[in-house]
This record gives sequence, structure tokens and C-alpha cells, in this order.
Amino acid sequence: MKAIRFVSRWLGYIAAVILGIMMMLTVVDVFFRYVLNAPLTGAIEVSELLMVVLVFPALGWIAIERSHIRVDLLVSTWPPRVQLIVEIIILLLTLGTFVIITWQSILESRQVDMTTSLLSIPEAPFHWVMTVGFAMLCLAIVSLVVEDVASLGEQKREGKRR
Amino acid sequence: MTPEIIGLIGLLIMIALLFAGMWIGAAMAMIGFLGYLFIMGMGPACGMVAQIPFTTMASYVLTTVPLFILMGSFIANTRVGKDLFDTAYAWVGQLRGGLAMATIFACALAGSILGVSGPAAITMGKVALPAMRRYKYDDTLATASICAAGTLAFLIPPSVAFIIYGLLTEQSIGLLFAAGVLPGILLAGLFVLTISILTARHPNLGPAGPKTSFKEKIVSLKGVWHALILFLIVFGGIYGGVFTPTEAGGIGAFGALVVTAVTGQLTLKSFRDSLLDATKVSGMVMLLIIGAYILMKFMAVSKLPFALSEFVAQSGLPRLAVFACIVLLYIVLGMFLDIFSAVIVTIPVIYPLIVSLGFDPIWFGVTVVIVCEVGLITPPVGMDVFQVSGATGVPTFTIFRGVWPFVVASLVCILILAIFPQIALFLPSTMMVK
Repeated sequence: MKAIRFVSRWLGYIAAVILGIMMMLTVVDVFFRYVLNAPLTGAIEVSELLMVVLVFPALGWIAIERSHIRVDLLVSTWPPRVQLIVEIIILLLTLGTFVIITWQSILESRQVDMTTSLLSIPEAPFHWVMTVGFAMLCLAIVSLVVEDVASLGEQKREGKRR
Repeated sequence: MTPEIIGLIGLLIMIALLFAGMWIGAAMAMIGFLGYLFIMGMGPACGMVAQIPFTTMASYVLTTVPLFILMGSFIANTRVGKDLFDTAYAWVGQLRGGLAMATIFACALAGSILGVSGPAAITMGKVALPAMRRYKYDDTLATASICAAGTLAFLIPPSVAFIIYGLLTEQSIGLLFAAGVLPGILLAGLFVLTISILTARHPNLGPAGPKTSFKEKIVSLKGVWHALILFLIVFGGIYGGVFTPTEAGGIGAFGALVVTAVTGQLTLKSFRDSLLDATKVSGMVMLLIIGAYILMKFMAVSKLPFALSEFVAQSGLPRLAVFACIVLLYIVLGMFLDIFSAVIVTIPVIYPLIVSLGFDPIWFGVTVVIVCEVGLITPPVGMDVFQVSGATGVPTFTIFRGVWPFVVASLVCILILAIFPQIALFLPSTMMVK
């Protein structure tokens, strides 16, 4: 579990660096286009591919930090035990969804042989980045489930002691 | 079962899952996948989820979202918010309720350089509330004006809410930005009017602050120059057709970084934190967008939105009655969901209806943003109120008691926009590049 936490945090840091690069790329592109009158070839394509490297690696990191957007207004009024049980069920449903998406991404990534139109950058590696991102998201969800089950067990023990 | 029924059942299950606390993006993806599977079969459903995430994310226009979020987190780590408040305070602080008005003005100005409302509301909570307490403002007015002011950032461009609405509905982001300006000023004006009516009737709610000389007022303007320059570059660039919104986002983020550096507030830690914050918020929003695109595929094959439009058309309800229902729906949603989620979850179903009723999509975008923001501050469960309460320690009950005049002011604003849509549509019509 520690390993999942560690790797997903580093993927988050990589995503943050990519965001910085994306900003600089846009600035340089604008500078070349309007000031030097010589637009960068394919800057748009590169931005699009950077977006893939920004978004997908960050998903697992956000999951580990329990920061994905959810409605907790109703949930937070329930007793803690019920909250945990419902959360575990919901997380398993989420896991199922992303396992299917990851599996389909693997199949898709193996087939992709396209290149971008201007710079002829092969797209397949970026599909694999997405696949790895989804796979890390699945692992992160597994680690959340393990955490929840552990705290459920702890609550039970405390309940017995009382 | 007809596809429409499957669509409806899918939506109902999704709502149940949302209330059970499922990640909103995951709930949309799951229901979208399962619903598509029921209607189209396993093969097409798998093919759809294999392609949608990559094709939606590898989009140049979509990069606008993280860039504007990054601009906001750079600014959040500076004193710009406090400077704006100090300036507004020097100009209107001596009026009755002047500090509350200054909060509104400062948030409106901050909104003109921030794409998201979180940083604006939090900064104002930290800066404006202590100032208002020092001058013996009633906590109800003080916190309510902070809540109300926080809603302005999403209406006044740049606004990430407009970017997402534009992406999902394939409307021009530049036009949406331009459409938000005048309604934003109108809403800020209505809030200020609300404060002056309240304090005229109950002077002890917000006593007048000390007088400032004309010279102090002029000197205080030095606090707004960075905001002004950033706004002129970003919005002026888009409005004048110099930049695309995406380029403006990159320039804006870089400009915010330069402001941080020039004012001596750039540290390695603040730089790193801004990047990480912006990455996190972007990733959160992107999961929603991936989910929404998968849900939209399901909605398209279920034909539910079309059935809904037909049903509404045949029911003979007047357009404005339908519009009122939609407004009500969004206010309720706004109580539970933040504005991104509310827009992203509803657009796949509501937008086709709006178009078929002949409402202007740009005007509707502006309205949706105001209405969601009303939901965020409406009793009994407005989310913004809980956040401000958490940040300031003022009980939610106290804030809710003070906030309802501002809810009324927002509803008046929506009514005015419904009667005079040209308030939203005038600026876009004057843009050179559409």
C-alpha cells in the first residue's frame, strides 16, 4: 500500500511539471507567433499530448488523497459504520468501472499506430500513459478499500471493548 | 424497454449513487457505460470507453481549463486579494456598510483575474472579516456579504465555469466570457444596493468606517495595477481577437507568475504549491469531464433528452414557465454540487431542451452560472456558506440569516436578464472575432 501511495504521489508531481511546461509552451508559441511572426509548428499538437500526460497520471494521486469531487452532504449525517460500509460498496463499483476502462485502454493502446499530423509524433506511447494512469487509479482505489476495511475492523474491536 | 426508459432509469440510479457519495465523474462513467451497453451491446460499449477518455482529453481547447486554474492558484498565493480589498476600502469604507461593499468590489475585481471562486472567497474571508469585526459590523452582514461576493468570480471573466460550459455545448468560450461582463457588474451593483438598503434600515448592521482623504484614495490605487494589467491582457486579448482563450490562459498564468515575482512574493515553495494545487484541481475537473462525455454518449443513444424536449413542447407550457422550472432545478442542484459538477452533470440532459425551446445558448450559459451560484448560498444547505463558516468559525445559522437578501438580489438579477437578454448578449455582439 505504501508503494501505491509513493508511486501515485510521484505521478502527481510529474503531472504538475507537465502543467508548468504546458504554460511555457503556450507563452513561447504566442511570443513566436505575434512578436517574431514565426509560429511554432505543431505547438497545438504537443499541447494536446501534454494534456494526456497531465490528466491521467494525476487521477490516482487525487484518489489516494481522497480529493475526487463527491457529494458528502447526505453521507456525513449517517453513523460512521454505515458510512464506511456504503463507501466500500461504492468504491468497489468505482473499481469495477475503471477496471473495465483500463482493460479496454490496454486493448486500444496495443492497436494504435497513428501519428500526429504535423510533427509525426507516434500516439501509442501517450495511449500507454493513459492506460498506466487508469491502472494506477485502480490500484489507488484498491488501497482506499483496504484502508476502509481496516478502519471498519478497528471500529468493531473498539465497539466490543466498550 | 424503450431506450428512453433505460435512459431515465440510468439517471435515477446515478442520482442515488451521487447521494451515496460516489465520485461524480465515476458515477457518470459507470452509468454511461452500463446504459450504453444495455442499448447498444457489449462490443460498442467497450469500444466507446476505450476511445472517449483519450479523444476528449487530447484537446487543445481543454488545456484552457488547467491554464486558468494555474493562473488562479498563482494569484491565490500573493497579496493581490488583500491589496484589492484595501483599495476598495479606501474608496467606499466611509459609507454606511462600506466595508461590506468593499468586499463586493474587491471580489468583483479579483473575479476579473481569477477563473475560480474558491481563492477569492477564502482571501476575502481572511482579510475582510477581521476588518469588519474591527468596525463592529454585525456577523450576519459581514459573512453574508463574503458569501455573496464569492459568487462573482465565476460570472466575471475569465471563468472556468464558462470554459467548461463552452466545451460541453460547443459554444465559443470568448463569446461566453464577453457575455459575463455586464451581468457580473449588474449583480455586483445589486449586491451593493442590497447592502445599502439593509444598512439604511438597520444602521448598526454596518457602521461607517473612518473617512479617507482624496489623496489617500488616489494612493490606494497602486493596489490594483497588477489586477488591472492582467485583466486587460487576458480579457482584452480575447475580446480584441488577439488571443484565443487558450493562449490567454497560458499568458494569464505566466503573467500571474510574473506579478508574483515582481512583487517579491515568489518562493520555491509557493511556486511548487501553486503547481500542485492547480494540477489537483484540474485532475478533479477532468475526471468529471471524462465521465460527462461517456454519459453524453449514453444520453444520445437513449434519446431521452429529445423525448424530454418533445414532452415539454407538447405539454403546452409557456417557455418562461419551463425556464422557471429549470432555474429551480439548478438552485436545488447548486445546494449539493459545486458549480463545475452542476454544469457538467446537467448539460447532457438539459442543453438539448434549452436549444429546442429557442433560448440563446450564450445567454443560458450566463444564467446557469448565476443560478448555480444562488444554490451555493441558499439555505438550508448552500455549500459556500459551509465553507465560509468553516473558514471563519461563524455558525452556519448566523450566515444563512444574513444571506437571504443576497439570494433575492441574485434572483432579481436573473429576472432582469430574462427580460433584457441583451445585457448578456450586447458585448459578445460587438466582438471582432467570433
